[in-house]
Amino acid sequence: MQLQEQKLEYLEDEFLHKFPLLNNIDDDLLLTPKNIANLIGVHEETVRRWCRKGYVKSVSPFGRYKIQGTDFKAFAFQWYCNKII
Amino acid sequence: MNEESKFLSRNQAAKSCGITGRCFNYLINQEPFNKYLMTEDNNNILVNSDVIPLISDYYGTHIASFHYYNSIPEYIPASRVAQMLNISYRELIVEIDSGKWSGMYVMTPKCVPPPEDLFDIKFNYFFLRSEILKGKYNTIESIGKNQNIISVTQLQLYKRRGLLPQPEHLKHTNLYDENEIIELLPSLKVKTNEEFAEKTSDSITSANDLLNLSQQKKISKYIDYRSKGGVVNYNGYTSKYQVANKEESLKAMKAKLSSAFVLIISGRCGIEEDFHKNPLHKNKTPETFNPDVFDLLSIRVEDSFYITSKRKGKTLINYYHQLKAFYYYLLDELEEEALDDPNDFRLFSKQKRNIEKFLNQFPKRDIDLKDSEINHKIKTFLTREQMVLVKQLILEDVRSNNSIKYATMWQLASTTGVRPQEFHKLEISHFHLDSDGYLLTDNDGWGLLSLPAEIAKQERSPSHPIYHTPIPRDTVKQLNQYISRLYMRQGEHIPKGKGYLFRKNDALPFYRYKKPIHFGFINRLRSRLDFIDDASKQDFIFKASRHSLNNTIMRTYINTDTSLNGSIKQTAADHQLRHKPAKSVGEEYYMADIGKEQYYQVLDATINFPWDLEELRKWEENMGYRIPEAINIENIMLNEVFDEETKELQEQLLMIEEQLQKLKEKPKSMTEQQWIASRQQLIKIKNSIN
Repeated sequence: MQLQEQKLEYLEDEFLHKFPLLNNIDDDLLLTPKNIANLIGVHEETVRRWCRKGYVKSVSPFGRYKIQGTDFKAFAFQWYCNKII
Repeated sequence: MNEESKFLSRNQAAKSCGITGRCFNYLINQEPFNKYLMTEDNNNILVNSDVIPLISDYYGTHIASFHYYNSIPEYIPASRVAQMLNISYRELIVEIDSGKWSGMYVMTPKCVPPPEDLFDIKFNYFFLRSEILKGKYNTIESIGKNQNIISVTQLQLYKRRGLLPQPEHLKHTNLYDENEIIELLPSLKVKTNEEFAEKTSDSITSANDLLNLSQQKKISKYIDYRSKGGVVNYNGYTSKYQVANKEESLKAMKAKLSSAFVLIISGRCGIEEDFHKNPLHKNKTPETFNPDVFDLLSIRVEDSFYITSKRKGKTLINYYHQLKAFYYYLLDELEEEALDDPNDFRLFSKQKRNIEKFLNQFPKRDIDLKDSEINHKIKTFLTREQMVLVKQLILEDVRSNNSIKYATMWQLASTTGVRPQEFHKLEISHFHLDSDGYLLTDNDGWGLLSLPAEIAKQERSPSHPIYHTPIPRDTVKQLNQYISRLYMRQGEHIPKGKGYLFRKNDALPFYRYKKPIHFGFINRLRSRLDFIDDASKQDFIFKASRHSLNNTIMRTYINTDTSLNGSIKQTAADHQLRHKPAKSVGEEYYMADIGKEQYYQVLDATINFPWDLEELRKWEENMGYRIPEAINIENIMLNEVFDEETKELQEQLLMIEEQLQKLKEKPKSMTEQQWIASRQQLIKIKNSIN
């Protein structure tokens, strides 16, 4: 267990180092699907799909999708881990 | 006689002895020295030198003892004793010789010649002070100093007014029989107090005295009827079955009725001025005032205007209720008499009609009054801290003559809810006392007060029959401090634990205020209450203590046991304030009273606080009623004095916080990258300031 945790910590550091843009997003930010699309170059609808499917946490279950900075970073980190592990 | 002895002149002999010629001459003429005297043929007197050492020795011994007794305060010279007893020195000596004073004095032989008229007295007498004044005779100053119950100044005042009795043989001296004076003091104080009261309050002629005999008789008859428990039942109106606090209520009833009739008579006589209320016109009844112009039964509608034009608001409602009961009593009697004769009955009907019309002119309830006629008062509810501050202000009041008494009143009312009008009848024995006459406490420091119904409001608001009225720890301390002072001032001859708690005079335990206590110290306090707003300051009254007590209990959210916050707290507050709890049928008949433990828990969490500002702060922090100052940002911002630099930084920090809040979502004018970069910059600055 300890090893796993150490590995994750290492990965997190590496991830933030590799992607300075994500590192600059602070935890309290409120991002719309459009903001994310513009930042990382995916389609807005893709971001909405992530929200719908629950991959990424949004602030409210209804209304417009809004994602907190911290949740977006967690999602991106998850994605990064799945890819390389 | 020795053969070698020489003969010397008296002067030479005195010089050899080392004493004055006058003293030597006196001594040599006394026995046994006079046998050493020789008279020559030419009338020259010579002294045998053998006597010189004898006289020298004799003089040395006795003059030393004379100076000794003269200098120490335990002994009084006979001459002073004679003055104190108002007899001559010789008379005293005769009494000494007769053995009257035996054992009370010491005597030394005289070495100095006395005055000619007292030449036969051969001794100096010194009386033992303790014997001569043995609990009997003493000077005013000493009596004042010995006794705690009265000051020297007060005694001197009594003396000047000739109120202090003096034994016949001590007339014109400064000596008084101490025991007699002490026994007399209480009655003297009562006498002077009453004389003063008569001078001040009763100097205005009472309204009742201004009426004529028949009017007075009718009013007295009615008051007598009510005092015996008589009920007025007429025309659908029934008066109360019992008059509560008869002594005061009946007096007020009489005064109110008399005052109404005086106003009517003044009106009928054409006197505009409200003369008998005007203190500048004490005892000056206008010449035109004639009570005979008015008969109680000949009242008309117009008479009501003489009252309504000079009084207003709730006073009129009060007049109405008193007059209604009185007139219905009169009508009830009249109707009975008039029933037999149709003519009488016709007259009666006319009078009844007039009286009804007269009474109808008065406002009957608050709704009948205009809003401007009702005197709205702002009630003040104090926090715990403010209650303690008020106590401190009372203690600091320099114009107060008995600050501890007033502070005790305030604290007692703030924690047990004793009503202002109940104070003057409250006795020490109403508290649960120990054998020394101080308040008995349980393990947690709670004392108990059993306020009986007789002295309570309307005679129907006593303490709880089982739980009584608990007194918090700090109030018990304050009461004990006050009581110990009372015991000291009233003297030891009065048993402890008896008498009124708040007395007109501390030394007179059984002499109480005749009227409810007037809290003059609150008037002086008002301008100093900086913590309440100006409008409330004007209306601040002593009863704010009781208001604040209920408010404190009800508005405190008890954190320690949240189940207490509902009806239990409500009932506990009602018990403490001696209110009848408002209950539904279910609560009244099918639910038990709150337990003693719950009652004490509520009181402990709400009013058992320390009466010291610093300790109160800690207590409130501890109980969770106050945010500790260390994390109270508002307090830091407001109270602490920052230097300029820190202030600037604080302002910067606030601005950054505001901007960050604005930039939480992307403004339209920025791209995503700009937005994130600007936020990052702000966060960096914020961190550097912190």
